[in-house]
Amino acid sequence: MAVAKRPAVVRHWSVNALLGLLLVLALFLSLRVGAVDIAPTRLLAALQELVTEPTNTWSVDAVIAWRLRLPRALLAAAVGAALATAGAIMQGLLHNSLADSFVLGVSSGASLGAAIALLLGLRFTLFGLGTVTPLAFMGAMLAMLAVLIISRRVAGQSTLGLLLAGIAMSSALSAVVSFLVLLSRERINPLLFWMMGGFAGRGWNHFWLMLPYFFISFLFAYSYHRYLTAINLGDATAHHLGVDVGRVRLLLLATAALLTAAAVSVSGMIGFVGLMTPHFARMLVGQHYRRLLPTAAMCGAVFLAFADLLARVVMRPQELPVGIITALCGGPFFLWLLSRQRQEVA
Amino acid sequence: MPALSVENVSFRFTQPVLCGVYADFEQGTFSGILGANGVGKSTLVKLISRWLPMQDGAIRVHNRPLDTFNQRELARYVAVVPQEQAHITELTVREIVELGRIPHQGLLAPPTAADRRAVDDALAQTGLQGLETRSFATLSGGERQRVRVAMALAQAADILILDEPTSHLDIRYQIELLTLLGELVTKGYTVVAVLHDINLAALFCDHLVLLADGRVLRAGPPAEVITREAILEAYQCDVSLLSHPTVNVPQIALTRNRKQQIPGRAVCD
Repeated sequence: MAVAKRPAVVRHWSVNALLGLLLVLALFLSLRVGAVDIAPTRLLAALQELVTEPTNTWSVDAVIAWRLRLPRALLAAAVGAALATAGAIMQGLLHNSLADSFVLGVSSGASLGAAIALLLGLRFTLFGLGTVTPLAFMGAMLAMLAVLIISRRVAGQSTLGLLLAGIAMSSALSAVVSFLVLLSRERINPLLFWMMGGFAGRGWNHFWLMLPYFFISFLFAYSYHRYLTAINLGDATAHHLGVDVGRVRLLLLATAALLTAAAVSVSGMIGFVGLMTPHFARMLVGQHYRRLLPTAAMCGAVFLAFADLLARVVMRPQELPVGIITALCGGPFFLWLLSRQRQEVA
Repeated sequence: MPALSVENVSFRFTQPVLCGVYADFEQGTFSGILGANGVGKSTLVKLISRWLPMQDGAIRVHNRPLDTFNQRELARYVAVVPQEQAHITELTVREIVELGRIPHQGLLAPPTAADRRAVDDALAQTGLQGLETRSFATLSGGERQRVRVAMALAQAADILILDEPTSHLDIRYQIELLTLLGELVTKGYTVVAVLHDINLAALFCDHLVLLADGRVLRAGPPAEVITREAILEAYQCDVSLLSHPTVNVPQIALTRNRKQQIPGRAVCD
């Protein structure tokens, strides 16, 4: 038995190791390319400087790598991991492989909360962000509960009903955010940023504020991996195994909302990451959440780190919002999943 | 003292479904619940497993009222195999059976030696050892049902409740599954199964409960429950009663026409 189990374990770890390598590669490339490229040898020298030299003697390369590019790449990875974890949780709990923060309107709820926080005059500083995320969380939670309650009431357990409610909620809340943007001309830039989604100008402070939310939420969700797997098998099955399905679902959906809110607070709305990456993770390591959650987070991190890299280089020296890249991949993927689900929906 | 007792249980959705049902299920017996479609067999199972809230009456597990258990605790005494769902998972057989240990595990605690032993035992008892690493989706109907029973066994609950475990199975798998349940009974389990096939129920069960019109029409050993009159009243269907050629239990033979009809009573009148 132990022998029979081993290949799966080895496979699981080699998948994660490979994803880890890809992430390191993405980070390295992110440091190297941009408005100014840093040649590999100079980059290595700069990295060495970062470790050995005092801050005030750093070369321009080292400053660019440390102050601008590294925090941004790490932030992209953390946001990707958060969105992917949120997507994996929602897909499992709602028995709906098309669920994710963006599709269900949770991201727009979060962005409305964040926009309100900004409009109330809470500046985008260390402390400002401290109030932005809780408000984004409230927005995310309210949007999610509204979508779930409305779709249950109107369409029962239907996959399509949930998606329609989510899309309607998303459009409505985005319209409110647009309206707020128009109202506040002097703050138009930071607000406009929620409309697009991206990592331009993000730095270490954003990364350090995002990271605890991600880690705590991830660990919390991970501690429920057996319950998530059981609920994914069916609510009745989980109930018979002694799981308080209603309570666990609410707790974990709140966790997904918090992950979304943390991501949206620092990067605005970036769609489809949470929808796509859990599917890749499932293909790699199967459906058990013990393996799925870490691998989904890794897939999300790798995906968004590369997407941001692309966003920075395709139209150099201009930048694309990374949301455009993820939507270009995610839109077709969503349609493909939808067409595969046609029978179930019908 | 019965392992599981149902006392004066009534339940209604918009219409009454059960009214004043009494049934005792003794420790170490194999009981079958019979009755026509829609008579409330599954409702009764859902009340016992607390999937539906109790409205009236009492259910006791080892003489302790159901509402004094929390859900996790109840799962250590009562394991339920619900009706087959459409959802087919890609999890492996062992992963599914391991989920049966949830009521015994802390959130972050890794599986203990006792967990592994319980899973190994459950796999061995259901003859699934060779299939451990197979994906559930690739199994036959009979194998799938055995996996679901194995998950319930891993719960280490001594009361096992199954809702129509043999539907969708061909006769080979039906016999195989009911034989397995019979073996569990000899090991001390209390097994309660909702069954549709009257002949199989008569062949395998020690005790039958026949429901009609929201009440227990008859309860007792198969020879007392399965009579022409009782079947006619419960199913509105005339049958001939035969005796099994090798085992001393009643069997029924169906006739082409329902022939006799007795006026159906409204439920709970």
